Amino acid sequence: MTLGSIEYVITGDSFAKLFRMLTREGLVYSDMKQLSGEIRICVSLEYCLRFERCCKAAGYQPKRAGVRGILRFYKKLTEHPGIIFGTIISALLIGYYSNVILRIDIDTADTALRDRITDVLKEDGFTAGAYIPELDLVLEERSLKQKIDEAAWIGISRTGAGISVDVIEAVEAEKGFNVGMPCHLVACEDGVIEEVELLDGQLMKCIGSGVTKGDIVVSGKIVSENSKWSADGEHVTRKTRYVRSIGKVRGSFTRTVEFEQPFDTELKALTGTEKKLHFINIFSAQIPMFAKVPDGWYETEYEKQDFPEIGGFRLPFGHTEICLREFDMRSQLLDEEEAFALAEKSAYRYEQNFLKNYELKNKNCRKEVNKDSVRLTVTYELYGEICKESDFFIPAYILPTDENSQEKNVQDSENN
Amino acid sequence: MGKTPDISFFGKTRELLCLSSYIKIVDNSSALVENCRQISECTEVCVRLLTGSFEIEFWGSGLSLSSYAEGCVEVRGLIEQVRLVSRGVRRRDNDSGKH
Repeated sequence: MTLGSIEYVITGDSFAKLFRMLTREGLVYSDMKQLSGEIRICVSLEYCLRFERCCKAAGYQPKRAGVRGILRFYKKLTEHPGIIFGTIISALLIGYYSNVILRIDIDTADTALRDRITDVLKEDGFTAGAYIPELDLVLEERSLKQKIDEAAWIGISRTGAGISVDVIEAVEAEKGFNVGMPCHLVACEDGVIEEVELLDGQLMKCIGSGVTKGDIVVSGKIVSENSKWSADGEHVTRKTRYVRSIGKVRGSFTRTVEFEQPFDTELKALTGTEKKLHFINIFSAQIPMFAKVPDGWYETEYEKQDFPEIGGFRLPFGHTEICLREFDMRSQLLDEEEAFALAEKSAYRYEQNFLKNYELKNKNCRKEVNKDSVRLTVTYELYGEICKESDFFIPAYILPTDENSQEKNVQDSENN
Repeated sequence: MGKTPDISFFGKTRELLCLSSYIKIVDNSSALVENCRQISECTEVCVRLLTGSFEIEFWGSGLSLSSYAEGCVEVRGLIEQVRLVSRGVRRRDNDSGKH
């Protein structure tokens, strides 16, 4: 009776043949009642054709009086075509939206990394509205790993309303345990030493002396000599200790940097076209209200979200509007003044990024105009640290055989 | 009703082959009869079924019959009386009536 049953009315004087037929055929039926001159019987839909055929063979004329069970539901459903239409539309929409990227979740707090991942995804066609079965998530994972060095591991998984990108950021590995390992302080700039704060190591250059790149300013190899006089003469014992040079060596130095700006350059220019994209947000799903993502280059002007609130509680459905401004990369021929202005901007950015740790004492700019470009040569006079640590290796044959004595030496040097 | 012998060969065989009729009655609302051979009558007050060795009569009101498996029928309604008549006795009564 899974598909429902049909109620039959059979009229006649004697129903003995009908009873025999029902037992012989093994038909499934229910609620068989004999009233005055007629029998009412409900036969399962699977058996109704067989039942009718057998009844006709036995000389009865069964009449359908009604339907029961799920058949009644089907019959009622046909009287309301809107429900059928709505169900079909819903099924189609569910089928479509479950295979389309509506939302891209990137699991990282680093906004720069998130933007970088978004750009790569866009380049590879992973945008809102893209058909997921046509996209290869494994290949995209590899592409992201190749293009983004800041991420140690990237995994893409399909979620209900789109894709989720899990990121493990690359954390710079610690250099390891190097306290106690011997090292020199080596000059990293050509300059003059003006200040020394030395905690350990042997100073090789004094204040006021000039150094060039690679010179050892503080040595991690300390050689001490003791002489004793006896009847045989002078006995000199030389003792070598290897220490980690700790200290700060500051000095003045100059650095010259050239900034070149060609006259023919590409500039970002707004075309004046604005486009508004509308989305409907239902829980975590962001359903686009447009069929096609606009072509071209766009930058976001603003993003507006309207979510209704009841008593301060934000409801999980609303509307999002994103306003985009179209821009174009146009080739532009700069004049001399504009080119120098851009070169100066580059110099400013360089100072902000690379010279923040130094004290800028003086700056000289020299402008040069070539055939296709302008060149700005800036000479910086700086004051700051001019040495950096440089580990060195001790050949095995120099090391004392007794390890304890070596450890003791190193320990002593740290305590000094 | 004839006297049932203590050891009956046919009775034991029927029992071993599960050919006996099994009747399960739930209160006075339904009765399930297994190994039903034939339906003799099915009215609102009386349902008469034939099994291997008995004729079973259900008397009551609003009775109806359902069958969900071969040889198994269910009587539903308000059952007031259940009567079992041995088919041998029935045949003898009918034969004597004829003569």
